[in-house]
Amino acid sequence: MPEPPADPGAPPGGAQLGFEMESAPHLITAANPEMNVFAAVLPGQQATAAQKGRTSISKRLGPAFWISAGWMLFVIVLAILAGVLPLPDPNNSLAGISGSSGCLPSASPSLSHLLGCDENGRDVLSRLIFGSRVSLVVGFASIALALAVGGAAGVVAGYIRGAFDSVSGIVANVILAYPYLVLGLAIVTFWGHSEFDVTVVIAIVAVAPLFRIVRANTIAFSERDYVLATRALGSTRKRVLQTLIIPDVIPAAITYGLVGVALAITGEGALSFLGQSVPPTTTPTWGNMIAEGSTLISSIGSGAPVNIWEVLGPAVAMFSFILAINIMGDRLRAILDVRTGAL
Amino acid sequence: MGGLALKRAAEGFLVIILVTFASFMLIALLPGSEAAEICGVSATSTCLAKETAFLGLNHPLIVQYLTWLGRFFTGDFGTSYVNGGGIAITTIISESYSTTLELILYSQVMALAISIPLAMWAALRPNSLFDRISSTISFGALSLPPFIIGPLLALFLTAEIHAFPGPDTSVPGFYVHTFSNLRVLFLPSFTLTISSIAIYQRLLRADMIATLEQDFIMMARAKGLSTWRILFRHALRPSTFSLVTVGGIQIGGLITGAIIAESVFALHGLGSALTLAVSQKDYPTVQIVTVIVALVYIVFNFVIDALYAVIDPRIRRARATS
Repeated sequence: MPEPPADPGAPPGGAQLGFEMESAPHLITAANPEMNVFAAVLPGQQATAAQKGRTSISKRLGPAFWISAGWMLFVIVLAILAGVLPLPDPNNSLAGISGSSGCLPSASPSLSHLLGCDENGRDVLSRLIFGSRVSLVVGFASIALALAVGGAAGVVAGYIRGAFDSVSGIVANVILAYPYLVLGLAIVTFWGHSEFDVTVVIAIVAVAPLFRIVRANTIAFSERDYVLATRALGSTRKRVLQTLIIPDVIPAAITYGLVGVALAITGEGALSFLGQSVPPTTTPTWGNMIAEGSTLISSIGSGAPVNIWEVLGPAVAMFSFILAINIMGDRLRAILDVRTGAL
Repeated sequence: MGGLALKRAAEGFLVIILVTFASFMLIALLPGSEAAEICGVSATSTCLAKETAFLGLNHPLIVQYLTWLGRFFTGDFGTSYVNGGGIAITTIISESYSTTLELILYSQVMALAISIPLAMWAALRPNSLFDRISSTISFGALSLPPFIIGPLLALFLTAEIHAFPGPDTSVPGFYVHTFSNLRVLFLPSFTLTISSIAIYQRLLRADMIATLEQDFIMMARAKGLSTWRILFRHALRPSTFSLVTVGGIQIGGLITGAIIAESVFALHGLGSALTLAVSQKDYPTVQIVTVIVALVYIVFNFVIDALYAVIDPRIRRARATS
């Protein structure tokens, strides 16, 4: 369990975590507290995970991992194929169209419209599938960007240390000093709301925790005996980084990146929900669908027809997708985390 | 000890300077001048000249920053752009912050009241049915952001069964009707509570299991103390270190949650003031609210850091000797 924070180099601001080295997963909490707690594993469970070292990776990941991976893949494939699938236009009203493709405003689910239609007569399922595109693109692209920048900086800062480490540490602390949605909202206000803007904004928010984790992992690896031995034998810094440190840091970085995707999707959802992601009038997203649907909640009592799937649909889609990523991240971390002794 | 405290304070000071500077630069980096923004589309040259002089835009950036910083720390936050620019940002903030404060406090009281017993009960018998069910639920709850929980609570508990009042814009501030607000604020607070419960339950459970394996607990058991007394008097305090750390960091998540909850339940708080300012492109208000929230967050984490020494005597000793 965490040692008392006696490390004099503990960062100010966002995260007063003195036990930085020992519990890297706690660090990511500065961006979002939801992250660290996945790491709250029993000592007993860690030991068993380490003992299982010889069973195949796919078995150790367990069925929950593969079900989650399947669901994630399914959602991604649907998003890619959205334009090819026989779905009605997500932005055009079907009200007033007769025949099987027509739909009354706020119609309940039916065979021709599996999740019914929204108050403007648009097909909810179609909006749900098209809406996943923004979430997925922003989620994956922003984390890829953040991982490229934060990961590279983290490796350099953790291995070379020195002035670069101090400066990048301070930059990370400044980013972490803002609650993530506040920072996101502030930047979006001043920049704009295109898909690209939102991606960059979320990448900025995500870069600091990813930097810290990669840095902490790099430090942990670079103090191992075999690294010291290789350096003592006269290997160059570059060679030690390339052959010993980076290959070990990458799995951890990818695991946290994966959980970062869940957070990025949540972040985009929060911006969307507040109407501050891509313009809601032209592009459906899960977040702005929930927002639109929840404005109708107050009219439920008044007798006007309300299709609750307008809220439930995107809520369930988002929850299940984030849950799937979190399960995958949890399983991956259980076997890949440095601290759990997966060596 | 003096050296360490001084280093911390210096680092904190640097972060505060940089945070205020970054926030200041948000407006300074805007395309077009702030004066043009205030004067509007039909800007006259006299208006532009007057505003430029008033805002000090003809001075170098560093002078502008220091002027801005001086005004900020003397409580002069400037005026909002919207509604003709008449409203002082101080007014906006003083009218709204107490609701947010009550919302967050309320949610944390509920979260601790629920998560501590849950975590203790689970930690007492690890891997029991109760432990597995509560841990699974809390894992799931971590994937529920407030903007999903809020609308669902509103949907099922206010709209469908009318158990609670629906969105209400007329909730008075914390200091005016602290207790009569509790019913109105229950659902908005509960929106924040769910993920807090999940986080606290997981952390406290893990730490508690480790604590209960220690010798002094076995000693307490051997003395014949009741389980109740062992849990609350002996095991709780040494198990709360992660909880306190995360409690500090979690303020960021709670502020995020409050922004969403205030939007769902139409409350007038700091979060909805920020959302409104963002949607109206009211740059100065966005800037000031952002800085204030960041400063609160930084200071809060300093306080948490100091709290360690209170809950853990070992740290007091370590700090005294370092």
